[in-house]
Amino acid sequence: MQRVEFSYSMKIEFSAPVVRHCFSLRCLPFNNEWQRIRELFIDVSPHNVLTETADGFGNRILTDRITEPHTLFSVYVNGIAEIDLTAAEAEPLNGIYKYPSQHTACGPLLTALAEAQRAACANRSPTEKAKLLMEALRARFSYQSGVTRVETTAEQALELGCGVCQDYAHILIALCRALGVPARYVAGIQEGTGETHAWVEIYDNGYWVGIDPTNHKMVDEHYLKLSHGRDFADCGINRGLFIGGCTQKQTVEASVRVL
Amino acid sequence: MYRLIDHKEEINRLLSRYGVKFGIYKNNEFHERLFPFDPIPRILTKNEFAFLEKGLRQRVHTLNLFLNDIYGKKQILKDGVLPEDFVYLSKGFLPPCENIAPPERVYNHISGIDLVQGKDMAWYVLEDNLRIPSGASYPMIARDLCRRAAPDTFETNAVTDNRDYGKLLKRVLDDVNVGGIDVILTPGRYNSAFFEHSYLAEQTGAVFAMPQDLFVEGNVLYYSEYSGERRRVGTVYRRISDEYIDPMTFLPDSLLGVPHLLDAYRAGNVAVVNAPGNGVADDKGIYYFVPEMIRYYLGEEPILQNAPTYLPYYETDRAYVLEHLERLVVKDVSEAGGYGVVFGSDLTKDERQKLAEAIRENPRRFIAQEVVDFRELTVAEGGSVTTRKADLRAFVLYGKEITVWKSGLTRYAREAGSYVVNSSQGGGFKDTWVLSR
Repeated sequence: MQRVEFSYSMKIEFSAPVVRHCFSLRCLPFNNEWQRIRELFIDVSPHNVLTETADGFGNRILTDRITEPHTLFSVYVNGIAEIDLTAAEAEPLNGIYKYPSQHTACGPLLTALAEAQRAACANRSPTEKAKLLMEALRARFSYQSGVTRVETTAEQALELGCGVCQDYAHILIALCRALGVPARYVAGIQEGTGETHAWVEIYDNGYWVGIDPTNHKMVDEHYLKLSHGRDFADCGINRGLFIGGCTQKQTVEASVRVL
Repeated sequence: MYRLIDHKEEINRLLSRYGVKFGIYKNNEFHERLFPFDPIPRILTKNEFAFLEKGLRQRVHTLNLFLNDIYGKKQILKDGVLPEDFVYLSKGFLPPCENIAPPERVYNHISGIDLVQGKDMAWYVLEDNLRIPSGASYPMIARDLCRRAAPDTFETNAVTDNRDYGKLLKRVLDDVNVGGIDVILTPGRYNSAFFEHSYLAEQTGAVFAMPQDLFVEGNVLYYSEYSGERRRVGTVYRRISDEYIDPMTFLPDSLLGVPHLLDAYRAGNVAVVNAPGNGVADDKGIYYFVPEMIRYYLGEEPILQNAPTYLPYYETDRAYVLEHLERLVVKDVSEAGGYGVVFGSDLTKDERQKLAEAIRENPRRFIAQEVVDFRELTVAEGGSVTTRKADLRAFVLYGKEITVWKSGLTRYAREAGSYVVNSSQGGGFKDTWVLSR
C-alpha cells in the first residue's frame, strides 16, 4: 500500500469576459477498494451550483453552469489517497472495451502493425500480449509534443510517428483490441511529472491491469487514476462550453507525491 | 368516401396554407416541400386493426425490454441470442447512456413502426423507428380538413376519430413526468418536421421551446420564461437527434443541444422522450433479430412477421444473397430515410458485381430482403383513379401502458410501380381510417 498526496490545478484565462460557461470536470479521483481517497479538498471558482454526478463509464464528474461574466476560471483539487493494487476485485467485462471507438479505429497502418504481432501473441496471456504490442509500438513511435492534437486518432498518430501520452495510449488500445484484448483509456496523474497523464488498462482474467506505453512500464502504486473510457473522447479531464471570450490561455499543474 | 376525391385540390390547398410541409436538404440547401395528400383513405377494418394492434404492442413491448437490457445487464448477449457485434458496432448504441433507469423504465415512448401489406394480404414489418419518428400530425390535420370538406362522409362511415393523438401523447408525457412542466423541444424552423413540432405542442398543451430556452442547473432542467423566471421541466419531448442533444457528452460543437441534459436525465430529474440511445434497437441489423427477441423476452411467438430478411454476416445467408442479388433489396444498415437502399434488379451487371464485393468485404454492413410485392392502394389521379404501392407507419405510444393510435400515416409512391414511399424521396400520404365496426 502506498500513501500519496495529490493535487490538480487548472486555470483558464479569457481575454474577454465569458458567460453561460458550462463545464464537466473529470478530476475527482476514483474512490474504490484499491484507490481509497482519505482526504479531498475541492475549490472551483467562480461557481454557481457545483454538482457532483457520474457518467455512463462510472467516472465522477463535477458539473456547473456559471452565468456571471468572468475572465478567470480556476479549479483546485487536493487530497490524500491510499493506493493498493493488490486490493482490486474482479469485475465483469463490459463489451464496449472490445470494439474500435472514434479515436482507436484501425486503418491500414494499425492493422498491419497488429497483424505483424499476431503470431508472437498466440497462446499468451492478455498482459503478455499487451507488453509485446507495447514493444512493437515503441519501435515505431517516439515522444514529441506539439505534433498531434487532442482530436488526432491512433491511425493518424502512427502515421506521424510521434506524439504524446494520449497518442501512445490510443495506439496501444487499438492494437490490443485488434488482437482480442479488451482495453480502455485512463486519464490520471503519475508521480513526479507535474502534469496530467494518460495510460491504458487491459482486461486480464477478471481484472483491469494498468500499462503505461509512454514510460514503457506497468502501472504501479505511484499512479493516481482520475477517469476512464473507450478513448480520450469519453473521459477528458476538462470539457467546457461558454459564450464570449476571444482567446483563452489554459495552464494545468498536477502532481502525485509519495508520503 | 369517393366524395372526398372532389375535394382533393381544395384540401391540398388548405394543407399548404396551414403550412403542412416538410423540409429537405439537397446539395446543402434547405427546401420546403408540400407533402402531397391523396383523399382516398386506407381503410382498416375493426378486426384487421385488432390484429395489428396486438402485434404492435407485442413488438414495442419487446423492444423496450431489449433497450432496458442492452443499457443494463446485457443478458441477451450473455445468452447468445444475438451476436454482440451487432450491438457494439451499431452507430445507435451509445455507451454514455449506460446504466440509466429512465422514468417508468420506458425508452421508446413513441414508436413509428413501418408495415406493408403483401398481395397475399399478410402484413410485414419493414422497419422500426424508435428515435424520433415523425408523421403523426399529417393524418390528424388531413382528417380535420376532410371532415370539414365532406362531413357526410364521416356520418355514413363508422370511422374512429383519430384526432385524439394529442391527448394520447399528453398522457405519455404526463405518465413519465418526474415533476415539472412538459416541454416539446424543437431544433428550429429549419428542421424537416418543424410544422409537426409546433402542431404537437398546440395539441398537447406542452410548452414549445427552442434549445436556448432550456438550461440545466444542479442536475435539473429548467425552462426560462421571457420574464426571466424559470420553470422546472419534468418531461422533455425533444425532436433533436441524440448526437446533438447534449454538447457536454455528444458532439461538442452542437448548438442545438442543451448542455448537461444527459446528466439531469441520468440523475432521474427529467424524462427524455424518446430516450437517448434508442438507435441500437431500430438498427437495420438488429431488426433481423426482433422475432427472436420476442420469443426470448416474452416467451411468445411473434404476431407480426418481418419481411424475409438475410444477414450476410452469416455464411449461409451470404451465399444465398450473393447468388440471388438480382431479385433482392439490399440495405446499408447505417443509412435511413430511404437512402442506402438498392434493388438488385435495378443494377447493371457491373454495379451488381461491385455490390457483391462490398458485401463480401464488409458483410456486417448490409441486410438483404426479398422484395415484398406489396398491395397497391387506390389513389386519385387527374379526375380518375389508379393504384400505387403504399406502406403504413403505425404509431405506438408507451407510458404507463401501451396504446396503438387508431390511425396511422399511409405513404404512397408517386410513380407507378415504384416501391419508394419516403416523403424525402417525393412520396405522398393518405389518411388511415380504422373502422369502429
